[in-house]
Amino acid sequence: MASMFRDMLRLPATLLEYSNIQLTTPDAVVGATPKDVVWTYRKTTLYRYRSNRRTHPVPILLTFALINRPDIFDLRPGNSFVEFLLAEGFDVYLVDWGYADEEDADTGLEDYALTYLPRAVREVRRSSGAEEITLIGWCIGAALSGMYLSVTPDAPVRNWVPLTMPFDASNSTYEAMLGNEELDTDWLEQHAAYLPGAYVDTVNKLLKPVPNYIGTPLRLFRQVQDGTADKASYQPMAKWVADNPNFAMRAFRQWVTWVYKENRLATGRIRLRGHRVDLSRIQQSILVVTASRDHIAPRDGTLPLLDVLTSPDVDHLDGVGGHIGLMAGSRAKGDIWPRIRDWLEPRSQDRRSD
Amino acid sequence: MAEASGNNADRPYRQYLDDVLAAASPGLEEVVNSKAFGHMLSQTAGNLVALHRLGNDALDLVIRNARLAGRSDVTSLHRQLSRNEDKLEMVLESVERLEDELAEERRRNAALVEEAAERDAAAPARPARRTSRSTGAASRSTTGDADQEK
Repeated sequence: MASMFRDMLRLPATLLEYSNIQLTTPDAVVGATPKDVVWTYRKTTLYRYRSNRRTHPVPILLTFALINRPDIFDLRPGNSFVEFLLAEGFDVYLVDWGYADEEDADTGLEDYALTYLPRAVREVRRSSGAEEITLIGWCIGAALSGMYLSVTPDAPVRNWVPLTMPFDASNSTYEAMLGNEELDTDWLEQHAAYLPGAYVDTVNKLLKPVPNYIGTPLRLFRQVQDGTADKASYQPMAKWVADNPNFAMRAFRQWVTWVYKENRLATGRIRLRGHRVDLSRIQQSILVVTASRDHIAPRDGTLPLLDVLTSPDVDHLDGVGGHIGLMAGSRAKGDIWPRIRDWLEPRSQDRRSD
Repeated sequence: MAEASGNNADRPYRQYLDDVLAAASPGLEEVVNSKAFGHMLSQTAGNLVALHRLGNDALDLVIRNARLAGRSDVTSLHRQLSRNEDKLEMVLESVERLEDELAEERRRNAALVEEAAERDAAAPARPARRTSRSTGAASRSTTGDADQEK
């Protein structure tokens, strides 16, 4: 009884701390690793991270999805994939698609995959002096890089690492949500310039409504009650989750129609500027990374990619975690990142020295 | 100590809440997975887009009638800027390609000069002609570079 009374007295302090964490989340610093702008084109920016430890001659270009910010690669000091790669001696670049707005209504997947990305690759090669690069794509970023590689057989890319890439959407939750005829993407494209980022985020969160809308805030509240809340790790992730760029409507229409309504990516029926996107044509060294608890790009939907690929050097890395948690969770640093490094290292050496 | 006792006092309530959420979670996910929910979501998207468009059109009309630049003007200006940027990017691509070719040409010429110098150094006789030939190669290389730069 006494302890309950004590808890009631502590409640205002708990509420105060909880609301302070929530209210100051937008001020959290994400993407803090120093970087320089190498190239810009429309809203796309290519960054190169500063480093004096570059030892591998093949630079890495990171690409992320269109519906969240690429800061997840560099979430916070001490838990940053970029920081890890730099410490391992890699030369790291990041392509940021920016925030789409009304003027980007006619930006389609072919623009991202066949204009912006190849130009970013060109600038990576020019600024690094490397002949070939490694492409690491995450989620839609993996699909875009796959599209680029499949229609550009002579792309100067030595290694391709698709992280939790949506591939075969048949029987997925997204197919049920977006694959119905009620969703008239052609009408949407004609009448709107973009799908608001907040709407896309809501739909994504609805896939796991209880954990996303109740579980996460409740867990934080309990941690505050128990005095175990880790503000430094909670806030960057919460800020990143809430930062949702708009989805340019043309790109949205293509993505939903091709991937979720007609499953064209898995069946090789996408055409970009007249070129068929046939992932079996990719001959780079490939590391397919899947996450066991991924509900955005379920593991079972990515595994058929391994049957399609014909490259002589294909590996599969199956990690424990969710779509984002796999690469940005607290365990990533000790588990999945070193495994990716182990795969990349021998494939990032100068071929002339072989 | 106070925290520990607080935890103990809370425990039944927390457990109860966890049980409720654990029971509700699969049911809600089943709802989300259903076709009916997909239909509702799609219609919501359509309604939101329609409302957004109506609101924007009305606001834009007000702003333009006040002789101010509206969002559609900004958008059209942005598109014109993008077209200019496209052209600049194409020029940049050409310049970079020419730079690469020039660098390659210079490398090739430097290698030729070096090769000629080594050959001349290896030959014991006729030092005067050797000098002249090596200078000639160097001047040819310079002329070639200057042409490229033009």
